[in-house]
This record gives sequence, structure tokens and C-alpha cells, in this order.
Amino acid sequence: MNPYATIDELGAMLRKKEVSSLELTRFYLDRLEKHGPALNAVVTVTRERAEAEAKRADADIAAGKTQNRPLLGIPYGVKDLLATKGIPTTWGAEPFRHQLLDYDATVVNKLTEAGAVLCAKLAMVELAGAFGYNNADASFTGPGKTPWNLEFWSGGSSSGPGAAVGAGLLPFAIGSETSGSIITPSAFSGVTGLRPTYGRVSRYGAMACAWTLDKLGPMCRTAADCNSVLHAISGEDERDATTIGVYVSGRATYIASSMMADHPRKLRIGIVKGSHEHVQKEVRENFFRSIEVLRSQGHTIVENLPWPDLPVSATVGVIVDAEAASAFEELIRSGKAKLLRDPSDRLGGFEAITTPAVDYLRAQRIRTQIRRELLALFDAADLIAAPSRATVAYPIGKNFDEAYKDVSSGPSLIGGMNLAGAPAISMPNGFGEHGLPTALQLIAAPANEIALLNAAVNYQAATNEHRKTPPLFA
Amino acid sequence: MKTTRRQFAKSMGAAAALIAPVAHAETKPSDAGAALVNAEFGQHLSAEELEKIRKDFADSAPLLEKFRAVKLANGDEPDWTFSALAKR
Repeated sequence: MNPYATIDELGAMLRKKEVSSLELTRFYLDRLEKHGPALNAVVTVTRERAEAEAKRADADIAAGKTQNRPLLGIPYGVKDLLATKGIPTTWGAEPFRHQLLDYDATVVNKLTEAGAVLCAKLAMVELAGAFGYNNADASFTGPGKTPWNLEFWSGGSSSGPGAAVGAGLLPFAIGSETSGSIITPSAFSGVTGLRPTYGRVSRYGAMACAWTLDKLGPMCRTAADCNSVLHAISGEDERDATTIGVYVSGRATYIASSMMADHPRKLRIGIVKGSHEHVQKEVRENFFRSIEVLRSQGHTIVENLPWPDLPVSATVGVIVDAEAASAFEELIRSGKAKLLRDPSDRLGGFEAITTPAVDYLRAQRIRTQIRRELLALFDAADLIAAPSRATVAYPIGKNFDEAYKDVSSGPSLIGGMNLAGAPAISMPNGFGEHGLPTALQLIAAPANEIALLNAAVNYQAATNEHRKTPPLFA
Repeated sequence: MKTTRRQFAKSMGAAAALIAPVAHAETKPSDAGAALVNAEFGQHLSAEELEKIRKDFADSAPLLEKFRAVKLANGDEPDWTFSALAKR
């Protein structure tokens, strides 16, 4: 069995009865138990639930109930901030290590309905980084390790989904992003991760980090797999008032990946000025190799798009500080925030809770200006391309602000586009220092996942970096 | 007893007054922020941690300065809107 098979490949094997869902599930459960500890990727292996769900999937396959169910019988994991009935939901944080919730998050419910098989609750940075962690060792499960080099971080805050999918411990996982928490671990772990439009996926049952920024999305092997998972988990939910409908701005939300491959679109792809000039050498080289692939596919490259002269990082910071301090007010006031792992997290809540209301409102008002200017970029380009991260993964054991001091990431595309609620996808595009993966990020206007995924599916049809596997986890 | 909004604001003023009264120009925002943290949460924090917090506030001061310098007109609304008809 190839642990790095895609959802489409595994689905074909299941439908042809070359393997049963129970066999597939046990294969991945064994890999999670064998390799999970070396990567600090797993909080709980959900073997009992997984085997029961796999048996149900096998019954559906035997009964021929497979139409339009690409996830039927496919194992997956979720970042441990999604509620799962009767299984601990720890939020990666010592104070919540034994938390038991009595319901499933909407995303988990939707995946259950789709016939997918929950195999694991995956590790994460404590509280999804709400208090400003400054080190990979920021979870009671220890620092997430990238399967490409165990001395380096798998990225955060969805550290477990990145490492687990990257090491072939699962075909896909659900991560969350407030400002970078899907894109970063996807880049550092060598997987393909999709941050959907804000509101595309219900957050009911997900730990709140910052209500006006939080999003859930798939982390997979391919863009086509992200498309399949997004289709299963998106849609309106009366329990999450921010969710958006099936059609937004007249745009369809789902087109099968095979249709995208058959009908590649010719798009205008923009590059923001300053987004690649000062990144690591290999990151830049790989980025321009990716741009040449896109150009060869008939896309028009639009260079030197202007970035707004507005304080993007400070605006994101004030919003996250204020919303997270409110979401975790009891934790801060009780002093239990001192039980967190990372020294910056232990103090960050006390600082964040002093954020003046006027500053919070100022941030939301500046956000209007930032969003207006960022959306204007999409008048000149259908998509924006950039290196997902300016560097390869950070070394474990060193504070982030001490690593790669000579590298500048330039404009905060991750922060800005999260403020705008825009979707993005990160795809592996080569390797850099220490044998670590680098990645290409494509970004679309809100609700334009179709164009984003069309370009991504076709980019991956012309490249093979996303099919490379880490030698340590064959 | 119910606390009115004004009484609450007054109590916050009292917390701020824990900072030693000094001339305005001598009071750095980072010291004021650290003093507020100390007044509210000092029981959880060591002197070393309070100093780290003061330094964090000081380090973020330049960013906040730029943040507060952005011109906003009276009509620039926050990027979310209360809706009486929002579904729950």
C-alpha cells in the first residue's frame, strides 16, 4: 500500500474493491501509532471510532452507495481544536488537556456524512497561537517536526495536520487558519493546503481564536484532493452566522477536478512588489521556476502590483489580541495562562487583555481600508502568486525571531489576505536549505476558489514536487 | 450591587492611578501598559515577567505608532456590521 496515494487514487481502489476501508483505515492507524510520536503530530488516535466508521463505509461500498462520494471510506484527521463527541479536544494546551465535549463540530459531521473515517485528533500549537508564540515548542505534545528533517518545525499552528499528511500518516486532514496557520505548515511540511474564503466553512465546534479571522480548510497531497474535501465541508450552517451560501457573487462553488483539468483557464497572475526580493535564495529560485510553469501554461504574469501602505501586521495583531483575549478571558484572569508551554504564550494573554477598545475598533476600521486596497489588486490580476513563506522551516530549539535574521519576508501577504478573507492555496515547489521544502502560494479574491483551484490543479498536472515523499517515512 | 458603566470607568481610572503620578512627558506608554498589567494581574507574575511584559510593550511601540497614525474619517466604519436580522 502506498501511504502517499491521493484521495482519488484511494477512492478508485476502494470502489474496485482492491482494498476495504477497514484495511485502509488500519493501515493508517498503524502508521499514526508508529510514526506519530517521532513527529509530535498526534494527540489521540481514534481507533475505535475509525474502525466503526470504516465498517459503515464498507457496507455502503458493498451496497453500491458510492455515487458522488469521493471521500467514502477515506481516513482523515482533524486539528485538535474541532469538537468530537467523547474524544478529548485539547486545543493543544495543558489547561484543556482533559476537555471532553459532547458533540461533533459541523465539519466533522459533514465528513461523517460524506463517509470519511476519522482516525486521529492531530497536534497543534496551543490555542492556535492566540497569545503570540515565539518557538516551535508551544504545545503540550512538544514541537511539531517536519517529516523532511526532524530538527526543524512542521509549521503552525496546524502542526499535526502538516506533519501527519506530509509523512503519509493520513491522506488528508483539516486545519485552521487565523493568520497563516494552514499556509505555513503546508509549506514547511511539503503538503498542499487550502485556506478557504472566510465563511466558506462552518466553524461551529471549532475553538475560537479570533472570530473575525478564523477559517477551517483541508490539507492534502494535491489541489484536486483539496477540491474534493472543500466540497464536502463547505456551505451554510445556521449555527455559524458567518457562513456564506452555495453561490456567492454568481460563482459556482464546486466544479469537479477532472473538469478543471480538462478545461484549464488562462488567467492573469500578479506578483506583488517586494514579495520575493529578500526571501531565501532557493525560495526565490523555486518561485520563479513556478512562475515559468504558470507562464508556459498560458497565464499572463502581471508584475509589480503595489501593496497598500497601511500597517497590516499591526492591524492583524490588534484584532487577534483583542478577540483572543476575550475568547480566553477566563484563562487569563484565573492565571491559568501561566500553564501554557511557550514563555511568550504564558505572558502574551496578560498583554493582549489590556488592548484598548478604541484600538480594536481602529483596527477594524483600518481593515476596511486594507480590504478595499487589496480587493483592487484583483482588478489587475485574477490570482496573486508569492512564495508561501520567505524561508524554509524554522529550526527547533531556537526562537523564531532569532532564526533567519538576514531574511525579510516583505509585505505581509498572509496577514493582509486573511484580513480580506481571501482564499489561498500553498503547493510544494522544490527544496531549499537543509533539504526542507519550499512552496508556492496562489491567492484569489474572496469566493473565487474555482479559479484558484483550476490554476492549482493544472499547475500540479505539470509539476511533480507535490508527489515527492520524505525518505524517513517511506 | 450593579456596577454602572461610569462606576466601572472610574474604577479603571483608579487602576491607572496606581502608576506613580509623574509629568506626562515622563510616562512612557510601555510603562503604563506594564503598570496596568501589574495592577490587574500582578499576583500571577514575577518581577522578571513584568519586566519582560514592559519590554514587549516597548518593542511594539513603533508599530503601534504607525497603526495609530492612520487617518480615519468619521464615516470610516469598522469592517463588520451589526445586523438585527442576522441568522443565529
